[in-house]
Amino acid sequence: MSNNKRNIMHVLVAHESDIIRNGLITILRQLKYVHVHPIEVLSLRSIHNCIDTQPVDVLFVSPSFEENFDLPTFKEKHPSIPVIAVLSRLYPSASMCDYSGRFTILDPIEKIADLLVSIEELQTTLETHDKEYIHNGDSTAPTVTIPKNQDTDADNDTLSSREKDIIIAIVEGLSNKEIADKLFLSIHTVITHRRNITKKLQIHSTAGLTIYAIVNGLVQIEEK
Amino acid sequence: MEKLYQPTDKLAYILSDNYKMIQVLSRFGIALGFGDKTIQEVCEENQVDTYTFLIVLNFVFRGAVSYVNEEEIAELSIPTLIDYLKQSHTYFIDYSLPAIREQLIVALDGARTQVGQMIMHFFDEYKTSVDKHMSYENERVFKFVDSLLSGEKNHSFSIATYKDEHEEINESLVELKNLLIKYYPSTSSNNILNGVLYDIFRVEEELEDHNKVEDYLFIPAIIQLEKGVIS
Repeated sequence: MSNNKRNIMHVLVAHESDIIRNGLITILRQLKYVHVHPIEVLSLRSIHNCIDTQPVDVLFVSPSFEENFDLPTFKEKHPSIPVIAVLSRLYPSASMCDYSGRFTILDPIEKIADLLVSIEELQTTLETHDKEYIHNGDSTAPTVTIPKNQDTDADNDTLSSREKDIIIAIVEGLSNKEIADKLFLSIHTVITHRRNITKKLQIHSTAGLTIYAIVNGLVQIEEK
Repeated sequence: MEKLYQPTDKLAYILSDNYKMIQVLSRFGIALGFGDKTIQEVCEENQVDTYTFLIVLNFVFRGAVSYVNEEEIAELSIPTLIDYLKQSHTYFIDYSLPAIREQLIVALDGARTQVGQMIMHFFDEYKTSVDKHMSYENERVFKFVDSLLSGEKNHSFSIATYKDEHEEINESLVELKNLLIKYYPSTSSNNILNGVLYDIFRVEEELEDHNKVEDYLFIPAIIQLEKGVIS
């Protein structure tokens, strides 16, 4: 798993216990693999208002928030927002199955990180492959599964020689099309390589890549 | 939002509780040396709206994580908030970023090498984008709000069209940090470079807090104002 995504996840935290809510916020800010902006809300109305006016990616909620959190109604209003149940006591398991995920306050912190990482991955997939999903067909937020031991390649932050070639070409000022022609690749492949380079180096701009290329001896400095 | 600090709390106590609040004070135009006065007393002396001061103070104190509800937003003094934001802009553009720039030149040994020059160029581009964004807010957004406040009904501008580019701007700061942390061939004068890095991290945090004040307090307040004036 790589810590390269700079995407900020906006996590709404609704819990009646001050201690749990504050604890969650602290934990969310310190997670290793996801960059979270937590937002605490103190009432159901604030949950809805906040979702209407601010970016929100996930809701963490206690099933007993404001007596009894009405999940079906929430899902009707905001079908695209996954809802994670935060459990501080025992609940009938049947009432839990409609949540996108859940954890108890006795779970290890990794469980929260895993839940968020899988939601983030799911959302990226949805965005790139099938935006219609949420709006047309099934309106229920998808259930989250925890990924195991994947992403071994992206873990490796060293560049392949192909990626180095592409950096050199970018630094030379070539467009994607020109890079594709020069290296006999499809434009699609060039774009994929560029995305991987960005992920590995956390550098997006040509200026940044140029500095990287010079420092690492990929290109020689021409004195003018 | 939990009310952490009350009008009757002593201002000096808050600063020793959390030194980050110094920046909040100075942006409200409150200078140090207020003795044992309470928040309310100091605010009144400085003609700062106490309620707005407390909402901003508590919001930043909590780490800019609290959703502030509509009723609380409705009570905010918009002119006070705009003064605060303008002062913040001045702080970043005229003080903080230029100071980092100077330190960065020193840390890069005068930026005489080509890589050094490129990093400076990179920083300058970043600084220009912050400049541009904040001047746009100063000149376009705040003027628009002024005209709303004076009751003008016809506008070619709407707060909804003011899309925030905050995250985008922050991205190049992240990139700069990475270049310095991971890729810049550092020499023996590490202390200076470390110091600059430290300042960059700090200004990044300050900018994030500042942006959150705009996103969670200022923009919702203007949306309400807009509704009230135009409809």
